[in-house]
Amino acid sequence: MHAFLALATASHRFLEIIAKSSMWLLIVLMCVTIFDVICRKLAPIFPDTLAFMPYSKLQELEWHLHTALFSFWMGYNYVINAHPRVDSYVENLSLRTRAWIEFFCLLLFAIPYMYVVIYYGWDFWWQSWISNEVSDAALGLSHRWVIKGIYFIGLLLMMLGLLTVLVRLMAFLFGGYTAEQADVRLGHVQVDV
Amino acid sequence: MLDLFVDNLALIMFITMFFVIFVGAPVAFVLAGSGLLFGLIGWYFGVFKLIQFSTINFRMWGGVAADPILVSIPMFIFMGAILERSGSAKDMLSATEILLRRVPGGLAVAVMVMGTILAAPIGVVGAAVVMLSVIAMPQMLASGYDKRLAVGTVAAAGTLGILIPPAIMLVVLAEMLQTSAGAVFAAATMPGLVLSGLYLSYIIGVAILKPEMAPRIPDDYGPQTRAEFWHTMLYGLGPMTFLMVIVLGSIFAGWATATESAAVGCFGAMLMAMVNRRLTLTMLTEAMTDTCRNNGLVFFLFLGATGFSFVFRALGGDDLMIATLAHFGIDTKWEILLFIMVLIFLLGFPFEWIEICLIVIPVFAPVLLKLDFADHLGDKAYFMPWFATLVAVNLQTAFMTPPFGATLFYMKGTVPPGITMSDIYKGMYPFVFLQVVGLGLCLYFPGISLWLPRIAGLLD
Repeated sequence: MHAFLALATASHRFLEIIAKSSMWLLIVLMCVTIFDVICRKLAPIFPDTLAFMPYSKLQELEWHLHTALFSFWMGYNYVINAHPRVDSYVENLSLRTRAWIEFFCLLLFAIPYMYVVIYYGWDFWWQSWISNEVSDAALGLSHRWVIKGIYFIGLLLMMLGLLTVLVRLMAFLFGGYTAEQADVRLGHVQVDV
Repeated sequence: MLDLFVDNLALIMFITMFFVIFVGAPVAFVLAGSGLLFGLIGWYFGVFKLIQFSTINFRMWGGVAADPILVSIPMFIFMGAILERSGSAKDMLSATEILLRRVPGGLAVAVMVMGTILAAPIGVVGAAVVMLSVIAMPQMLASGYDKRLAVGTVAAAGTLGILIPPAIMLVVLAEMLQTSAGAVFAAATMPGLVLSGLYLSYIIGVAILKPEMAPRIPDDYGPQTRAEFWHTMLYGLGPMTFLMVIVLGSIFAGWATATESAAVGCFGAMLMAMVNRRLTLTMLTEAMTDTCRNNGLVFFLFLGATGFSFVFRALGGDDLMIATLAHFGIDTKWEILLFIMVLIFLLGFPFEWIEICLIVIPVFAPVLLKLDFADHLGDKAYFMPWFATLVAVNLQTAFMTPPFGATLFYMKGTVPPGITMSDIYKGMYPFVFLQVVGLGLCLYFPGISLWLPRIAGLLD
């Protein structure tokens, strides 16, 4: 069990590194959007240079960046227990009972669902890769498989997050570890949006 | 018996999901899992094909990842996160207080005005309530305000944030109702101001009739010279006003889409933080971590909800929902509208807005599309923006209604120990009543919502 917990800690760290380094894309996203807005506003003044900027490419880049942002964060989100729960009716139950609920929920709901999504997600990406898919827009970005690949990696990271929490719950429920040792986090999450 | 089960599979799925959600597991998993489970049951009875699950990725891609509107969500969260940390909000509250010190109930009025204006750039319920509560509550209590009035004012002012654009909730609502975010923003503006006006008249009324509940700010408070006064005004109100003008102005004037204006707003907020010398690397990293955390949470919920609503629809849930409502005698458009409104209000207690938007709206959207309110609104195309404002006001009411409204718990976490939960409940009642009046006005006079989008030309 100890080795498994060490693995869980390592994968937590791995997810954290990916999440914390990808968050700078937020700044990139902001800059790309502002650049796009400013150039379009100034285009009538400098028609020679700015009228032919690759605007559709820029606009596609905006949602590409956003897709990367949430793909790289979903798994980490679950590991740090940043998921909304409706727990006003169970918050008085013991931690052990709530850990059992979470354990069954993972086994019956979350892991099978992610398995199905990943199973078809591979095909989703593969189709894009072999057909060398490009944007639907005539002037859009090429290499659509890159961002679809990132989305697919996001699904895998989510699965990794689920397995990490599963190991921790098992250590707590069957391995005789305390909640702190196993790093089990089940408390209420305030959704700040 | 079995036929009955198979025919009503989508309905059973919806009800099952509802009970399972209360076990306290992450909502996204419950949604996703019940989608999967009932997809498999449907497959067993031959009404669903396993390959249909592959559609989840296409839905997630086309409807969520590749959607340029949803990009505004992280940007708006980021803007709020920077503003919250840069202290601009605190400067603004003190400036507003000084400006309004001669008005009866000046401090409460300042909090309300502040909530209305701050709501725009923050757009996050929790953050606005907590911030107002932390900044204004001790001050109101120290100047001898009735604690219930103080609590009610702060909670009501803070919750305006989900209603007044550019609130993130409006972006998600617009997305779910498949209508333009700009139109929904414009439609929600006037109802927000009307509510804020109702609150203000209540506070001023109380201050005039029962001055002991809302004492005046003493004259020796704040700056005494004229130069000092203008300095406070400029630094307090200038930055926020500037931000609001660039964000909302650029949308209404048609220069930028909602997404682009969000990015411009982020830049503005960073600029302000820089002018205040508060733009540090630590602050920026914290703001980014918070933003990404909330953004990831929203989009994982999208991933789960996509699975749920897709299977629900594939099992024929849309028609079933209409038939079931009709079976219970809910078939005229007003009955359906009121039914949905009451349902959303009740769901607003246990759920966060995002769950309601992602679960209830997709289930009822097809029903809504069949409603024809042209005689009430003037045109069929005006329905969605109007409906979105009704939902927004409704949810905002649910948020502050005792005993389960989310705002009450945010309040409880931040108020001084002398204030009990029962004080918070009692403080909310007058405001909840005003809220219901406001909702009634929006229902009966659709012009309140539709006037601004109509003159801005966002409805055609």
